[in-house]
Amino acid sequence: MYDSIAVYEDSGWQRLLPLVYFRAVFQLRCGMSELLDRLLRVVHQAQPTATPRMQLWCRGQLQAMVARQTGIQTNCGLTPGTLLLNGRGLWNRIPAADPETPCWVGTVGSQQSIACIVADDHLASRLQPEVMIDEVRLRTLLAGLPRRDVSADVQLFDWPWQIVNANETALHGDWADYQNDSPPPPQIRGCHLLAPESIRLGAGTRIKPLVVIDAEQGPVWIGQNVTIMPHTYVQGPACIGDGCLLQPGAVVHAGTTIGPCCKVGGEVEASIMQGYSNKQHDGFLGHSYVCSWVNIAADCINSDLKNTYGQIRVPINGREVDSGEMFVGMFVGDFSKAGINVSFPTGAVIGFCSSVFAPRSPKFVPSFAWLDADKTDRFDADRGLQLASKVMARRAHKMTDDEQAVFRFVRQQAVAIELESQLPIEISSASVEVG
Amino acid sequence: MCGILGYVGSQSAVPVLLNGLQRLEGRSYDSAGLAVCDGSNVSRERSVGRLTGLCERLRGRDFPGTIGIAHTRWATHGSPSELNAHPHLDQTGRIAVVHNGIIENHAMIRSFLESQHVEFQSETDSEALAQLIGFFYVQTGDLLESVRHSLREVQGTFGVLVMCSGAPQTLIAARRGSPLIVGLGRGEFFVSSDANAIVAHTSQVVHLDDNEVVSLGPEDWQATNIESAPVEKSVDTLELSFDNPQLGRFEHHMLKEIYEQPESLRNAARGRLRSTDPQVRLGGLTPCVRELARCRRGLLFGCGTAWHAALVGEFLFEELAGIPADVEYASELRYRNRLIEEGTLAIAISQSGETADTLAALREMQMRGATSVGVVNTVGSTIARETDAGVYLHIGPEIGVASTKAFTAQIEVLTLMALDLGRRRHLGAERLQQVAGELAAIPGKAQQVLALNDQIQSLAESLSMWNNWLYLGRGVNFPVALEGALKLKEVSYIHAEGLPAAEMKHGPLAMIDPGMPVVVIAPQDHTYEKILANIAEVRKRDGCVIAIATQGDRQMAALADEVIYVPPTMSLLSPLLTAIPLQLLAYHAANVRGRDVDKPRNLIKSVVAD
Repeated sequence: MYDSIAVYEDSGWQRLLPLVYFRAVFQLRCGMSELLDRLLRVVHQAQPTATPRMQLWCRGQLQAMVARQTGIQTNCGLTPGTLLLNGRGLWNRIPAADPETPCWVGTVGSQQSIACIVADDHLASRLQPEVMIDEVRLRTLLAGLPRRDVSADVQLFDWPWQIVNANETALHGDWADYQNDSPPPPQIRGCHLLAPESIRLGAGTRIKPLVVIDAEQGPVWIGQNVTIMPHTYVQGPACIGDGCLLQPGAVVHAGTTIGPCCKVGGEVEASIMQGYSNKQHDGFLGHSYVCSWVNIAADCINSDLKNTYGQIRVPINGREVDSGEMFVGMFVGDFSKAGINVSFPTGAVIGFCSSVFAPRSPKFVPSFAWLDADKTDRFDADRGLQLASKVMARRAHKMTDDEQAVFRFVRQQAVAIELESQLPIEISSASVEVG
Repeated sequence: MCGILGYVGSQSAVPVLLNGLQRLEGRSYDSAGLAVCDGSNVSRERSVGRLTGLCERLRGRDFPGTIGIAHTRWATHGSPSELNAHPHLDQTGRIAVVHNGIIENHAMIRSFLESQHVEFQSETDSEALAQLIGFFYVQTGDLLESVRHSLREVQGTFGVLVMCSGAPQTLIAARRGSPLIVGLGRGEFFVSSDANAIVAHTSQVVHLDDNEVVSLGPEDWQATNIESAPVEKSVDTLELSFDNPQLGRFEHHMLKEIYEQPESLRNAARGRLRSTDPQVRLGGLTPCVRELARCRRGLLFGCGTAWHAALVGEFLFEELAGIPADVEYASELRYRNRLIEEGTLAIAISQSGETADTLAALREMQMRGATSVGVVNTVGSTIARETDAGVYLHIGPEIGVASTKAFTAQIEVLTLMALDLGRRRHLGAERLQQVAGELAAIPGKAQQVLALNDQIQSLAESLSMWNNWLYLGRGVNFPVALEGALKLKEVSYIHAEGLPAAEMKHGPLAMIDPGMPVVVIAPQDHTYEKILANIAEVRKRDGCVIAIATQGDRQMAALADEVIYVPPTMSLLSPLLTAIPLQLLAYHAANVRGRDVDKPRNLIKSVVAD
């Protein structure tokens, strides 16, 4: 039993770029919800009557935005006995408290990555959000504390593709929490609902004729006010968020999560869309993670399997990391756009607020880059903000002050973190800023 | 070569660092500095010149802290000055860095950081690295990843230590192309570019390999590569004794090391060759025994003195091993399209085992399929670890910049290798024992040569005003002539040339002025008659002939102006004796001219830059 729980970001946030430039790691989506929502559910299940006091610890620049978006206290001081949970984890269970040990560290895997900490008076007074994201400082403070393996309670995400790969299992796991929200739908005239007991439709959702929803291999959860146009096929496990539009002929394969207010067409396989993004037309999106306010134009396709069937390398922070996986699609940062007919190579990474045009995207597109066929320029922060505001306005959203501050910070931070890749752009566009 | 040193533990860092720097003092340097962290702030002190200057500045001042880094600098980018001396701090003053090596893209990094409003304090490439780490740290808040990220951006070489006031119990070390060794103590860690600086504290060490980053403390250590992937490292035990490198009765390390040669020659052969044993025992070559038997060609390479030893080795390989041998400058070999035949044995010779050109040539030869063998002195050095097999010199640290005892030991080890290779082919036990017997007598004979010191000193005094010298030799003593000339150049700054004696008549004879010193290495071997004729030609032009001759050679006394007699030995082994008077001659000439013998201008002991 814990009186207080803090969900924190650690140094691992850097390995999850570009997905977490504009959100905290616990706001990433996996399964039927964001990691934080899942964690809150798990906490509630563990302590249904004694609700602990929750707070969040994240990077300083995100503090105001995260606090507003989540409605949870952010970056405040700790009280003794607080359980700190790593926010980049898919939590299944809250580690049991140990009255005999007032201060201990929960680890996972052979590398003993830190998944949770129970802080006594002394430790609580020394831990701070900025210490948590500095591996060396955190390790120094935790030196000598008893360790406990909590691998059974959580899966920590080290790299973006791990989130995508965990999605199908997470969708299955979440179903238990979601299926009781509403009863199974009745059969809809002109449509086929296969295994309807594993299908849920939210209020206000409209399913047009000639739609097939196939839950035989896994549940399909469809949120409120979703419109599914004719000739669409949805294969479970899958989750379609509130307010989405599935365009005529859309094919959504198993293992896909579409966040709220997305417009989806063409073929989508085993992918996650964070929310408020468009992939309206024909084309293929597979084994990918697409952040918010992204537009993928008609006939864009991404590769998720090499012709050699070999392991796919993914460029993260200017270096290629061997994913060890045979299927890896692309990872698209917030506010980025792909023009018509762009082909994305296997394991492509598109930064924050970038634009890519046909015919072929490089494997790594730096943030704020404007990649045309024969030249590379970049957005400055003002021009990027103007465009982002236009995109948001189309969904009746206004960019808040805290979002604008983060947006500007990302412009500066991305240049630093993606230094090697961005330097040529910095130098070539020193005199000409293009939007 | 710059030296770097780091400590984290429970002792006061400053005395540990100063002690370690003193152990590194044999290296050439133009400035020194250290930084310690007291738990909240980084304090730094730097000084131009010798270490005593730094000690003077620290005297009476309180520098608390149990973590610190220190550096002796040899200027590459930016002049020798306090501002350019290490450690360098980032803009916030939180992060301190010492760095060996060269950051090739430092100008680009500097210009990028300046565009991001980072202000630089020095002209050095190393500060660019410190500022880059600091810049990433501001952006990410994660020190370890900031270091790794910076090192991924860096082109060039580094042995680098990083500490941060925010993490005052952890030291971060990384290397690429510049040696770095971690010493594991009890609850404390030492890091240095040179094992000599840490051997007094611990013999348990971890050798870092290229592109590895290690984080040390507070209770454990962790190694990753710069891509953040964990790396398994083994803990080795240093086979290095805590020798006192102090000078004793000698005025300079160079003289001390010249005098150590009887002992170093004994040590280099100890346990490897017995006159009663029909085989050579070189345990270090065991890993490539099969390749040795099939070896068809020797390719010896090195730089400077090591190259001269290789030239002698060429004779030894052809005479004793009976296999063709080639000698290459490592600095040229690495850029050549050298065709490597099957059965080539590539022999890298380097006292330090870190010479950048030799290491690069070694890697190139390995890539081309040669079996590689190292002849190095420094235990655990990069060349020692990267070769397929090798033979250590076992002569203890060589501190003097001008190599002396390493040269003769290299020749001795090459002799042993040639005998070993020969024994695997055609060389009979009788011949082996004959050479072994003569080799065993060499240390005693070297001792006799050292007894000529006074004579050589007088000679140097009388000749040191001459600004141009010639050194002549034939056969196996031609490389000795080259080495004699190099020694004179290195320490006395007198221009000297080494030549095959017969080449005089093809040009250089025109240079002879009346009285000009011409040192001729003329032991009584099969070239003796010819070299007498060469001496006569010099004499005819009134050159002043100083002959290195065999004891009892009366004819030479009549021909030469001055004769230095060395004991008789086999022709092939004569360089082990004839080199010694030339070393003494160079030493005394430099002394007469008032040179800093152990730290000649513009030179460093171990050239780890390209």
